[in-house]
Amino acid sequence: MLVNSHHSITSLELRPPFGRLLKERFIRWVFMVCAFFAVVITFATLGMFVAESLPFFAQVSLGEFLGGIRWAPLHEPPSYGVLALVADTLVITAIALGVALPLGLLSAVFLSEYASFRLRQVCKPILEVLAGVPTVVYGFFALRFVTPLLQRTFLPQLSFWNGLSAGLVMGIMIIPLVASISEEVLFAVPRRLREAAYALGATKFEVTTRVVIPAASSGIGASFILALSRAIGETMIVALAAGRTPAWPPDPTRPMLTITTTIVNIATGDHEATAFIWSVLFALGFLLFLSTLVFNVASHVIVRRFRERFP
Amino acid sequence: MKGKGASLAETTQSFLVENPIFEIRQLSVWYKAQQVLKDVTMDIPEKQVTAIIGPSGCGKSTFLRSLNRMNDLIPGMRAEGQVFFRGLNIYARSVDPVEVRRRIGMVFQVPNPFPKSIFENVAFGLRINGFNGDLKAKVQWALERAALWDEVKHCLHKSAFELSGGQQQRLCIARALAVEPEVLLMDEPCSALDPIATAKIEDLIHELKREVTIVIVTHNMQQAARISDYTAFMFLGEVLEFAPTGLLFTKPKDPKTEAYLAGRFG
Amino acid sequence: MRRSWRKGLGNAFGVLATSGLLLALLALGTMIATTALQAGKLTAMDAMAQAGLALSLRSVDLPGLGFLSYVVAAQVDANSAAAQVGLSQGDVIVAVGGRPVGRPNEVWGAVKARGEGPATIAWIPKPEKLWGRLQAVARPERAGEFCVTLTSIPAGSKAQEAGLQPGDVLISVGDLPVTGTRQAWEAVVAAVRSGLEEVPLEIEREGKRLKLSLHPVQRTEIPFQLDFFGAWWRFLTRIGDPRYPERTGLLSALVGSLLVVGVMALFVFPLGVGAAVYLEEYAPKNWFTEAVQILIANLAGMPSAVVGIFGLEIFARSWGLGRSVFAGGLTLALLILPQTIIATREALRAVPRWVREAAASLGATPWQVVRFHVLPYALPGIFTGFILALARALGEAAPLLLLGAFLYVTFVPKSLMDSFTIVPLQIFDWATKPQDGFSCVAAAAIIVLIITHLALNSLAIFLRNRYQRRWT
Repeated sequence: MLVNSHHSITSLELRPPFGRLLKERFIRWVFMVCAFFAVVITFATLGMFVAESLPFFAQVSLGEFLGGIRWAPLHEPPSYGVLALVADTLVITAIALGVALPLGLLSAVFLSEYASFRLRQVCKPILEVLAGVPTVVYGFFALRFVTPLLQRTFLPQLSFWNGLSAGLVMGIMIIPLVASISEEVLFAVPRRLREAAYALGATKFEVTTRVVIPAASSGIGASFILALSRAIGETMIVALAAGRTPAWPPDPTRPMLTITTTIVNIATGDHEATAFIWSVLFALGFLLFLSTLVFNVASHVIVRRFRERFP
Repeated sequence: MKGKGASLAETTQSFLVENPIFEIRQLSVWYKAQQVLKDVTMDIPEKQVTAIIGPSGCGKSTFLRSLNRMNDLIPGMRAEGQVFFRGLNIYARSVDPVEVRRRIGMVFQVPNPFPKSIFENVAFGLRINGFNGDLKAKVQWALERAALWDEVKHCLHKSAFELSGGQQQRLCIARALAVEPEVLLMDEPCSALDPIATAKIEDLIHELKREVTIVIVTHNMQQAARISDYTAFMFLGEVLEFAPTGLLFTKPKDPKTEAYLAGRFG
Repeated sequence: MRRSWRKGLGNAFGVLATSGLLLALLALGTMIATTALQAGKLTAMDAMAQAGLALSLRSVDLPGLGFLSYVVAAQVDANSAAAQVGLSQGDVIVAVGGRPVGRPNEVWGAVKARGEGPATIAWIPKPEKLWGRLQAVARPERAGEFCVTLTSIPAGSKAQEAGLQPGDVLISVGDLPVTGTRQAWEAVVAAVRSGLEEVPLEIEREGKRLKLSLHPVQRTEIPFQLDFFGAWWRFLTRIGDPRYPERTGLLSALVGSLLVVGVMALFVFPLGVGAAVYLEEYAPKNWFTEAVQILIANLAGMPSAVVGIFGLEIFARSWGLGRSVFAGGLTLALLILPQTIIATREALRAVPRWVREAAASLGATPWQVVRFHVLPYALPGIFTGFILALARALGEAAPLLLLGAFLYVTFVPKSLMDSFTIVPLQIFDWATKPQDGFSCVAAAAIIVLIITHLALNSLAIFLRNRYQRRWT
């Protein structure tokens, strides 16, 4: 006995109507094309940077580019040492992180461990809104408020354009970013860990510093990396407040030239479109692209690991 | 009959189904690397209530969901074997799962009305199936069959979320019935409900079996005994025993069935 | 004992954490407050402009007096209140409402302090009105030296009042020896600026030295209207004269911003939602989808300068779109697209799986599930994300700065191929201008930008709280 006989000849068909099948396929295809776009753009960006900076690296060796300290592409003879730019960028970044990391982390600890539920509900959207304030606003603040303030109080010798106030204000800009990501990971640390520590007689301080922060350390680290990448790629604040001349050795009280400002200078300058300077632009863009990409991917991977550990 | 390989004689099914609507042959389902269903072979009779019982995690729900290809929606789910619905293998390449689901309705464990009005909940299935008759009459018909009409006839445009749990579940049944399915698959439809609401649903199942075939998964043995004509006992992805309900509950053949019915595990 | 020590440390830490947040909020609050303070001068600047005056800063460096700055009426509108009292282009304003002024900022400060109504303006007429044309004449007796002589004295001029006559040779002005025609007049300005009401002159008339005294300052009353709303309205709705901060306007930047963001939205909304729907609802869950997801996440973190280079190379140069609104919109789209995809995916993911299953169990096709259930339920979330993306787009300056959006636009873009400027770039431009007043209009534009930002964010938060479904 295999199968009942009255079904042996069947009129049942469960095929999809042809029109519907076509429509479903078409719609799926349309959506796929949209998604494909994002992929295409990324590879186009990468491809463009490689292709366009080739003429530069054909003429300037990688060692000269990365090891040289004199950035003077328009001088005769030109010199393409990017180290001065990198150093200036890193000094400003370091100042920014010096402000953003402690303040951001403390804010996060406060919101996650000390603030009441209501306060947290109020503060989180405020942080989100502040994180989105246009950067040109911060740049204006650095140029027209922080620099004059510093000149009048602590540092009379500070120049009008300087890396210090750009870095300080960039730090303020990054605080909300660090605070909101760190707060999320701190808050995600499971209650059972906290309760276990409290059950052993730990104080709130001990629970926070010895249990919660270590448990969330990878996520906090990811927020720091993201802050770093954000600081390196920031353009408007430095273009407004840091000036446009490279400082070697890096001195934050003097004008500084970051990679991003150099890109702005080249792109907005009246250079011949075919000039060699154009490929310098792509070489610098490539450098910026790669370094931020590395940091972003690292932070992405770390956050994902964290989420897997404390879902 | 080509393709319907396994003989029922070698399986756990101890009786011959006169009028099967489903003939399941060596159905195995994997979730990623884990085999959730192992070589299930059984016939499900038409216009009867078939209950699937077994301890939690034994694959009852997966089995039920493989009968209308709902498992296709879960990434990582893979099925092998055949399920013949009125003689046609619904896992055949030419078969569209959407068409399958239009004929085989489903009611879920937790009442899941759409966040729309009561009317729209019932009308949705009709609309997408290109129903061009009297929509209101059909909705009323479905709600009446689900024994909900009298309770909601004055507030058809209220959000379905405002109904009680039991009413929501009956709404889901009405929603499934509106497209006149031949089979209604019910996945522990009462597990989230209180005893009174449960009783109403059970009455409803009694009423409905005259018109539709019902396959119900339940973890509640008493419920299976009360409402079903046939019962299958599943254990670790296998159907260990499938028999008329009275027989299974009184004279289980398999020692594991007996142990389960006696409450020694579950 | 030990216990209380531990408790104290804990409390101190709590205070530290609290002060961390407070400090962060304080810094941000200061930023907004100082900006608002700077923008406060807009009303006074507008009152001055409405009276018909555009000011500019001049400075002289005279031996013995050092560096002195003064304010010149750079433009005086015909038939304006200022023109009616006799002010003309080139006159020097030395005091407003009794307050001496040396730079435009001080003029506006004085107007603001003075308040509504007429204020006395003290001014020195330009040389032509003060003492007519001066002429440098070579001295026959000493070779190589020049002397400055008056040629014709305008009737009713201050010089006439002082008793000067044509042919007089100016020897010194306010104790400064005269060395040139321009310098002679500047010496008058310097003398007045240093507080003298009467400027002593030494002249040579027909071989004799004479000492005269000149009252160069004229005082007239001009009615000033401090009109807060009018000032802002005019600032927002005129293109104006970009050379003078009191006459410049934000209109072309506002229109530019709206057009660019509009073009951006036109591309980003369908593409972003489409891509998110594919990735969330259709794509098989495999390594490729995963890779695309990581790619998009990192695209979202790409520095805006890098996006700007891409826009410049591909849209502006390769596609020949130039520095147009269209190229700007596309570049911005590139920046905002990944963010929109991520936000939309999150909104789609917030729709629970059982909704899809319930619909599918009734025989809905994938498209029907998306069209009738997932998309409608996710729509508030999608809109929230999109509004936030718009807010970000309105504030982005760097990519369009690279693209070469014009900083000096004196027209409103009329087609998508026109050049444009946008509000943040206008701010950038104004903020870097050294002249007094530009930092004030920059601050005013920042207020506009921040209010827009806050409004869009509040709208997003409102939408999220009001319409987001609670799946219970």
